[in-house]
Amino acid sequence: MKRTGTMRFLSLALALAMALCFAACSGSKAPDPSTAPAEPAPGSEPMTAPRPEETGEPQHGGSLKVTINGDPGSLDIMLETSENTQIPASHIFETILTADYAGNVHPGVCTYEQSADGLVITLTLREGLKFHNGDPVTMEDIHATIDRWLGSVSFAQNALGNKLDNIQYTDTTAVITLKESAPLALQALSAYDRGPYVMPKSILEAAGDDKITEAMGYIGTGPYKFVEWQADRHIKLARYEDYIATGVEASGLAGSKMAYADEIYVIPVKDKMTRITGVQTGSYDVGIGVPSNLYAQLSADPNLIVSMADLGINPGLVFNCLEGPTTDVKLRQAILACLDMESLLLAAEGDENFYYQSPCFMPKASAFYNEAGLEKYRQIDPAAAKALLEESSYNGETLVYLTTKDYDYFYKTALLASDMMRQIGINVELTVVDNATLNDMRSDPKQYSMFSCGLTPKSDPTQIAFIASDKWAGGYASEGKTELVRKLLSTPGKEERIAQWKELSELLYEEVPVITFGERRNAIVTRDNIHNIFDGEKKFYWNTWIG
Amino acid sequence: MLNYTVRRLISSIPVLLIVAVMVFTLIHMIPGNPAAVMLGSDATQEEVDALTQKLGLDQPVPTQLVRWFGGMLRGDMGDSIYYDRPVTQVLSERLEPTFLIVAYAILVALAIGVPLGVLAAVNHNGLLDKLCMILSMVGISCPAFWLGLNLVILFAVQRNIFPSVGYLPLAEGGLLSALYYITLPSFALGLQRSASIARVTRSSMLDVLNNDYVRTARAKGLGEFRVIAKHTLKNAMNPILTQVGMSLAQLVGGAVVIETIFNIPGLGLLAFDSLKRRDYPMIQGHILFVALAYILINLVIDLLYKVFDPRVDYH
Repeated sequence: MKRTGTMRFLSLALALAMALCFAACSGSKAPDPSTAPAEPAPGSEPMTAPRPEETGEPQHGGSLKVTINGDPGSLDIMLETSENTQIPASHIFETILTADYAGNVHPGVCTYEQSADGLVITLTLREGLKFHNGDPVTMEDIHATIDRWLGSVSFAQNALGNKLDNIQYTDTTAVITLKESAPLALQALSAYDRGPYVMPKSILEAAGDDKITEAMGYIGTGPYKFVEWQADRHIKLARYEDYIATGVEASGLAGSKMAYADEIYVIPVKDKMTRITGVQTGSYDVGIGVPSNLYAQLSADPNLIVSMADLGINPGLVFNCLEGPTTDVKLRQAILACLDMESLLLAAEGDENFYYQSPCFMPKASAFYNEAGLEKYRQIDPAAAKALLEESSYNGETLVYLTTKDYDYFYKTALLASDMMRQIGINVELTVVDNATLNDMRSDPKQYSMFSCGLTPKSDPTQIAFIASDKWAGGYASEGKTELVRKLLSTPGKEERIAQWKELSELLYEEVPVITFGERRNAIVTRDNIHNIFDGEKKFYWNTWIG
Repeated sequence: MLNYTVRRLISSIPVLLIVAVMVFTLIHMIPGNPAAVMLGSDATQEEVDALTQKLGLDQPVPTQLVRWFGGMLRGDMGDSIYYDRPVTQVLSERLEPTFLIVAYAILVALAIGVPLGVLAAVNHNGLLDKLCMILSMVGISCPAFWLGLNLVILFAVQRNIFPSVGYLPLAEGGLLSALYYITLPSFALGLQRSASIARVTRSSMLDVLNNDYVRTARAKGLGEFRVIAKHTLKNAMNPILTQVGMSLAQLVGGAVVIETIFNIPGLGLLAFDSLKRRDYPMIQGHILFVALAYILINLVIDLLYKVFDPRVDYH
């Protein structure tokens, strides 16, 4: 009798535990079979759908609550490279010029004219612009901004500073005279990453070589002004009523910026699931990075809109070209030949709509995109890989493959790629560390043979880390690369530069210093009352309205 | 008691100093350079080296230790590398939500654990005893993060009763609003701790229930509630207090995970981020603060023993 009673309680406890398990696994709301999208049949339309076209009239008002991945260290956008800084700060500060999605240059704080030979660029300050503190923007502020930018940003130095003859300032213009052709000068003046963001001269002088702090003042000319920053809680921005738009049609980061929302709360949320449940419950309006397995479930929620945007990140691996077995190009070519990129990307992202197969180190959306290395990218030829391995000096040494679980796709691709390498007879040891340790270990060529990477999107090939510098991790340097980079940095014509980049892309598939597995995409979830959200790699919320 | 308190506080100073030196040494042994983290993955080694030098991290570790230790003796825990602000300032900004979550969670744990334990002891080997112990075993086995995720799904996503994320400071919304925001995380932490408190309460109550004075109280005709509440529970409190002290310490640690899940800007989230950023002064400051909290919690628990058992002698 007593035993029967105990069994009953055990059953009860088990039932309780199972109920909780089901609650945890069942997700937010069971999708209604009548509204849930059907499982796509092979070869049918992809399960991801474009965001509905915006047809209504934009509305002013409301507070927009958007998420970023973590608390930024500072909002000094000229010196910070993290997206956590760039997203809030790009609403406060504006660059001297701006660039649209296609890379065309448009006015920013200044308009510009370029001479026929490209050696003289005249910047003219737009009339009536004021900083958020009410002070008018003057050429002294532009002067101080350019000086700080050229002195602290290596891309600015490479693209403009090294080719500069002089800059003559008047009350309303800055005339930049170049010693030689500088094809990237306008692009640098409109750069989103560490671009010349205009700040008051007094603040720049107070900061000196250090970053600008909240105490000095985050004062810019953008459509939103800084209100407060509660660390790890939110950065609050409010509409800047005296903002003067450029009048150019909006395209990406360029053109008119309308501050429809009264306020923007930029909220750091580290955990992806927390971001998504926050949007589901209405605590946030926008969450970025929906996992592929939740896409269908979230799409079925009538209160949410889920859409895809290009991320432009190339997951891949970087070889140690300085020391050890991977200095042998044949070994690197063998590894490239054995990798099945489709499987690697699928393992990392979980769904084919969340990536592009792409052999190029520039994003698909870029004018520089090419398929120069396509054949080598998708060869998947273990026999050829083994033949290359035979030709190489590789003698069964252990190759150390550094990766981290801090980025899910780093670890998943490394796990599968190392298995593919083992299948052709390469002895690979996967070393899993946290991201800070990976960054540290990759600086010592004795500690690794290759490491996982996620190359971030750039507007120009010369900005890609392993192309921009021979001293970047892995230490890739070659005469061919140096010559082609020199040409890219000095040739003015866009078409010629695209052809040069294609030549360099072919060289990269010969010398294989880095392998890209493809290009990642991103799912964004918003509340259904959020309109006109960004659709490119850069995330911004001017021109977005609530209604 | 005052002498005892002062002696305990003085004796905690060498403990804190040892903790400080150990933390400093250990944290500098972990690979990873804060300069490389701050500059991002595109930075070249030259850029990393330049920032390392600017931050003074290229100095030998003993030199850094002496500099940091000297500052600490003057009450200066240094500046956060990431935030470029004093560590004490950054810590104090994050104190409020963590303190409230830990306090709320321990109240939840006591409110559930003690009655469950008493109920189990009073019904020793009976139906309720078994149910309570099964529940407590389930509670001990459930990690707080799993409980937290379930609570979010049940009470935030499906029912929309509580917020799933965030925190509203006392200064902005008052105590009730702050508690509303931290109800789910506090329950996630508190439910798990209530399980161990229930088990300790039960065993402690069983020890006391068999004593002669309890039998005498019943023989005198006292009501069962009074016997349990006044004569039994009070005398069973000291082991429960010990468990509460241990639970408080574990709750401070548990806050790291739970604050990440609920996106609460507290000390736990700060500790997690600082470790990933290799923000040495911040990590050192945080661990020292937690060590101090442990010492103070233990001291308060030790002092409370006398309240429940006058036989305790602090000499």
